[in-house]
Amino acid sequence: MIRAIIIDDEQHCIESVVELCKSHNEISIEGTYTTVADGVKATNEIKPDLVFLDVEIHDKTGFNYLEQFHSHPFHVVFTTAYNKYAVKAFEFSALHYLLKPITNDQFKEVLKRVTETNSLETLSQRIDTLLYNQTVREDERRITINNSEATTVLHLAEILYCKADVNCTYFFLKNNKKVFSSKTLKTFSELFESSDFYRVDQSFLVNLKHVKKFTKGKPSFVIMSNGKDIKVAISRKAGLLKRLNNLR
Amino acid sequence: MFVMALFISTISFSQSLKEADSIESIINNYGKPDENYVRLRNTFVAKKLFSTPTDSTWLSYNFETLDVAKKLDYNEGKVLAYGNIAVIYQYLLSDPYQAIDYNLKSMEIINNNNQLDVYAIPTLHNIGLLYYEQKEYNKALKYFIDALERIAPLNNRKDVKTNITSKYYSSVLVNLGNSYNELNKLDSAIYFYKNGIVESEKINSYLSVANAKSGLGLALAKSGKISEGKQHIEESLSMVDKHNLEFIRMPVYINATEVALANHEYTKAENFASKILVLNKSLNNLSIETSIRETLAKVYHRKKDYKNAFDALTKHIELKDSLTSNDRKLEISRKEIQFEADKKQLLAQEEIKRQKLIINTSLFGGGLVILALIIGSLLYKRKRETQFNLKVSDTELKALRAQMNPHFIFNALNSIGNYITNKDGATAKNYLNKFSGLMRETLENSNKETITLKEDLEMLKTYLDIERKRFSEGFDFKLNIDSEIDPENILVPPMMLQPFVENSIWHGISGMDYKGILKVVVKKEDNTLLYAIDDNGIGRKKSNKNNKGHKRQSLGIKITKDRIDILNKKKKTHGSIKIIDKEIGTRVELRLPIEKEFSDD
Repeated sequence: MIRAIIIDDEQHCIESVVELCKSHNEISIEGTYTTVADGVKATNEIKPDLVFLDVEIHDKTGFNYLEQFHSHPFHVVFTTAYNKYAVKAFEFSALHYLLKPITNDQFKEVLKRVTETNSLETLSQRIDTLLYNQTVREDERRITINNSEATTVLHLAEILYCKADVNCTYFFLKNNKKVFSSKTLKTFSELFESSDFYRVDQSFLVNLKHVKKFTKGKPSFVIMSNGKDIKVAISRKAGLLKRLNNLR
Repeated sequence: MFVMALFISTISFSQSLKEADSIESIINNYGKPDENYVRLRNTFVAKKLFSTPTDSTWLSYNFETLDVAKKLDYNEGKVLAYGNIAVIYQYLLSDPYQAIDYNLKSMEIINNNNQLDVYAIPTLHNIGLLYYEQKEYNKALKYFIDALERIAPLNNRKDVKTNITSKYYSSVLVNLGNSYNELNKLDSAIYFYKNGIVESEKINSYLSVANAKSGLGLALAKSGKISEGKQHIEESLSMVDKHNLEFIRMPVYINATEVALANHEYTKAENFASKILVLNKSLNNLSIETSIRETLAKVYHRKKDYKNAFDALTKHIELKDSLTSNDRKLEISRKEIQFEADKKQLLAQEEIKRQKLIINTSLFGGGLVILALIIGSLLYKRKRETQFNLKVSDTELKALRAQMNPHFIFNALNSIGNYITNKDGATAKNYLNKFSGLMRETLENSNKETITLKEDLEMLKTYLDIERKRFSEGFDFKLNIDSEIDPENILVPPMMLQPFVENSIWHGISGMDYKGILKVVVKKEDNTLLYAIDDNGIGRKKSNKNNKGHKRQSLGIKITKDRIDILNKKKKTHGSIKIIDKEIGTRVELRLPIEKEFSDD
C-alpha cells in the first residue's frame, strides 16, 4: 500500500487526483493540504510514501516545500498546468510530473515509474539537482541522467557534446568519460535550448562553450576543446555561426 | 538629450601581446597552483583579452581561475577573476546584467575583507555605469553614491595611491551629474558637475572636464539659466576642438543643439544638428539619428518652417519604429567586435597609441571599447538594410500566426461544447484531455517558424481525433507518407494544413449522408514538398449553396495564403496552394520548398 498526500492550493485539482487514485487500489490518500506550511507539518507527522506536489502554491512553490527537508524518504510527483519552466526543471533533474488536466494514462505511467525499485535511492540526488538548478544561471545547471545502471549528475559545463545512437544518446565529457542515456538526442537538444548547446548535425549536439574552432569549407567542422572534430550539416551552418557569435 | 558616461576599467586592460605570451608560457609550466599562479592568470587575461575577443573560451578560462582562487581561498584573486568575468560579459558578450551580477559577487568579497577596499570603488563605479547604460538611472545613482562615500576615507590613507582615488573621484562625480541630469534633478546635477569639473581639472583630464561642462551646460539651460549654460557649452566645444576630443564631439554637439534651442537661437541649433547628422553619417548610430531628427523637428517648428518640421518628424517616427531595444544591443553586440577585431587590430592599436597621448593612460581599455563600438556601428550599417526588410516580414508572419490561434481555439471549443450538451461526462473528459494536449502543442509550436513534419502530422492527427468524435458516424483518416520523405528531418511551417482539413470536415464531410474519408498525402514532387488533402465530401459548390449562397472564404484559409506569400517573399521560394474541385469532393494541394533540418546539399 502506498500512503500518499496531496498538496495543491486548488480544491478541484485535489479532487481530480483523489478521483484518479480511486481506480488504483494500491494507493491510499492520507490527507490533502492547501498550503506549504500545512503540507510540511503533515509530512512530518504522517510520513507518507508519496507526495503529489503542486508547483505554484499561493505565493510559495513546491520547491519551497522540498527545501524544508534534509532527506527525502518519500516519492514526489509534481503537478502543474502549464509551466514550461517548471517542466524543464523536472526534466533536468529526472523527477516525475503530471500535467493538468491529468489523464488516466499519464497517471498510470507515472505511478509505474515511481514504484520502480531504485527510484527512492536516487531521489535525494535528483531533488538536490532540482534545488541546485534554481540557484544558478542556465549555463551552470546540472542534469541528472538515468540509465539502467546508474543515475549520474552532470554539470552542463563538463559536457563537450552529445551523440545520438539510434534512439539513445551518449554524453562525452571533459574528463574523457562517456555517459549513456536512453532518451533521444532531440529530447536533450530541446532541454538545452536555452543553454549554450547547438545541434550541428542529425547526430551531434555540441556545447558551444567547448567549441575551440570553426573551420570553413565544405564540409565545415567544429573542433572541440578535446580536439574532436565534428562535421556541421550545411543547413545548420548559418544558425551555428549566429549562436557562436551571440555566445554568452 | 544625450549625456556620455565615461568609462574607466577596473583593471588596466593594456594590451601587450609579447608580455602576455611570456606570462602564458610561465602559466603553462607552472607547478602546484598558488596565489601567484592566480595573479599571473588574471594579469594574462588583462593583457590578452581584447586582442582575441573572438575566443569563446575566455569565459571558461576565467571561471577556472576563479575555481583555483576559491580552492586557495585567495580573496584578491577571486575579486580580480570576477572583475574579468564581468568585463567579458560587458564588452565581449554584451550582457550588462550578467556583468552587474559578477561585479556584485566581487563586491560581496570586498565588503567582507577590509584590506580589499581599494577594489570597491572601481567595482561600484562600473556597476553604476552598467545601470546607467541600461537607462536605470536610479539604480546607477545608488552605486555612484556608494562609491563616492567610500572615496573620502581612502583619501586620508597613506597606503593608497592618491592619483587612483582622485581619478575615480572625478569620474564618479561627473557620472553622478549625468545620472541626475537624466532624471531631471537639475540642482543635484549642477552641483555634482561643478565638483566633477574641479576634480577633473586637478588630474588634467580634458575629456572629463569637457564632458562635464557639456552636461552642466545642458542642466543649467534646462533649469532656466540659459546664458550660464551657453557659456559652459561653448567652453566645452572649444576644448573638444583644441584637444581633439573626438569621442565626445557628438554628445557635446547634441547638448549644444538643445541649449541653442532653449535660447531661441534656431539657426545655430539647426547648424549643430546638421553637423551631427554629417558626423553620424560615418557612424550611423540609429539612436543618435532618431533623437536628432526629433530635435530638428522642434527647431523647424519654432522657425515656423512647417514643411521641414513635418519631414523631420516623419523621419523621426520612422526611425523610432525601427529602433527596438534589440537594435541597441546589436550596436554593441559581440558580432561586430568579432568580425572586425582581427582585421582592424593594427588600426585599433595605432588609434589607441594616439589616444594614450591625449587621454590618461587609464582610459586605454575604454578607448579600445569605444573604437570597437564605432567599428561595430559601421558594420551594422551594412547589415541594417537587409535586416530591416527581413524583420518586417518576420513580424507579419508572427502576427498572422497569432491570429490563427484564437480562430483555431474557438472552433475546437465549439466542437467540445456541442459534445458536452449531447453526450456523457466521461467521454467529455476524454475529449477535453485531447483538446488540452493539442492546446499544449499549439502553444509550444506557434512561436516556432518551422517544426518537423513528424510533429506537424502528430498535431494534425490529434486535431482530427478531436473532430472525429463530433460525428456519430465518424470519418476515416488515411495518411500516406512517401518513403522518400523523412518526416523527422523535413521542416514545415506549423499547421499550414489545419484550415483546409477543418474546411473539409466542416463544409465537406459534415453535410454527407455517407461515410467520409479524409486522405492526406505527403510526397516529393519536382523538388518540392507536396502536402495534399483529399476528401469525398459534398464539394465547394454545394457547400456554398448550403450556406445560402454566401461565398465565404474561411479566415484560416486566407491566413494560410498570406503565410505562403510571405514565406515566398522571405525565402525566395515558390510555395503555392491550389484548390481543386473533383467530381466527388475537394482536393487541396499545398506545395512547399523542401527544407531539411540537417542536410548537406
